Amino acid sequence: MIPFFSPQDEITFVISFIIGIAFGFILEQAGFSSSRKLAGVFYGYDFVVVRVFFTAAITTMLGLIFLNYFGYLNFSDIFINSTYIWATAVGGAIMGLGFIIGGFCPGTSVCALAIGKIDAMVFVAGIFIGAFIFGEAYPIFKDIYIEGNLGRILIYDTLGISQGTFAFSMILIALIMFWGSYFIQKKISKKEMKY
Amino acid sequence: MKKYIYISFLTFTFAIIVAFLPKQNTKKELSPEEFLSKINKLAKSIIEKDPNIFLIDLREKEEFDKFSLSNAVNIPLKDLLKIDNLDYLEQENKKIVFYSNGTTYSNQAWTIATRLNYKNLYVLKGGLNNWKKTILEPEYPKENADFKEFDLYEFRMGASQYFTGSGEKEKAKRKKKKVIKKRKKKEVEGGC
Repeated sequence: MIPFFSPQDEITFVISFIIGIAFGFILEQAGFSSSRKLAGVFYGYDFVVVRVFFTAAITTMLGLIFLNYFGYLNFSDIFINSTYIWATAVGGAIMGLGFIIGGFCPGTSVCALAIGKIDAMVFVAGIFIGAFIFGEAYPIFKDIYIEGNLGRILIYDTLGISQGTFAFSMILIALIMFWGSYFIQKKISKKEMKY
Repeated sequence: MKKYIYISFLTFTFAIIVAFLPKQNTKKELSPEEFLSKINKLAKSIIEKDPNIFLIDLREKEEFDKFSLSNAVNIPLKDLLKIDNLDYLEQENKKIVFYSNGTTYSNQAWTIATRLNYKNLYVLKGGLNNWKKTILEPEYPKENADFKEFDLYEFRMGASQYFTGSGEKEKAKRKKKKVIKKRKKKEVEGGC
């Protein structure tokens, strides 16, 4: 959903297409099509993934806040999905497990598939099998799937702090993370060189 | 290394600016929960046939035929932008309430319609799933519960009977009832 255009404009499809291509291209260029690089964050030898995601998050956050401040963008124009707390927790755990076992997250697996990686092909096939099982066994999962709907919630409202304070702390966390990961990576890489 | 220090410094500057940025007053933001956090209120409004509420069911037709709220109009989400359906959103002084099984469809419909500048839009919190749980199958309050909770339970039981017991009659009635559609004023066309 692109807030600058009316949902009736057909141009939104073209824009979505272009953004999609750009997204995939940048993911690939950042090295996200390599499962070794992605899994590196769990073993401490490569933090590019965390850095890229944090950079994307704070860039988007700053962009949205400034666009809103200068009156180009209305926050209520942005679609926010409802938070289903249990489904999110369980889904997050499964996704994390899948990430560390398979070496991809759903988006990056498609990205790696596009450049012809065999492990990504297997991974994507797994996604479809999982989705099929979920669809067929839906009555079993139904309760947890629809339980705990918290509605359209935002972190800073829930914490009771202002948007500015939250943005500030988020950037601070990102900076600490950037420098922290820089030093951890340096240390671990050095250790590995000794062997 | 120097590059990183420079970028960090720049980002930190932005962080400080954002922290002290005065709050911008955007257009009045309608929270989907604003009105319907009180689900009992809606049940009451429907039973009392409150003329100020206009319900739109966003599910598919088959699901709508199986069960729906009284006086609701069925517009599947994918058909929301059809011109005939958009006319339904032009309700003067009426609260339009979107609902579906959960809230994903209704939130999407709410966002789309808000961006098309339609007013007085609401979402049924928790969707029909929550409706079923709170209104149709209410839990009996604990023995030491407040009087208010017992009152609430009584009301919900009553509502439950209303929505399940007389369901068939309601359906028959609904079919006859015609919803008044307000046509959009046509723009004056040029030419001779």
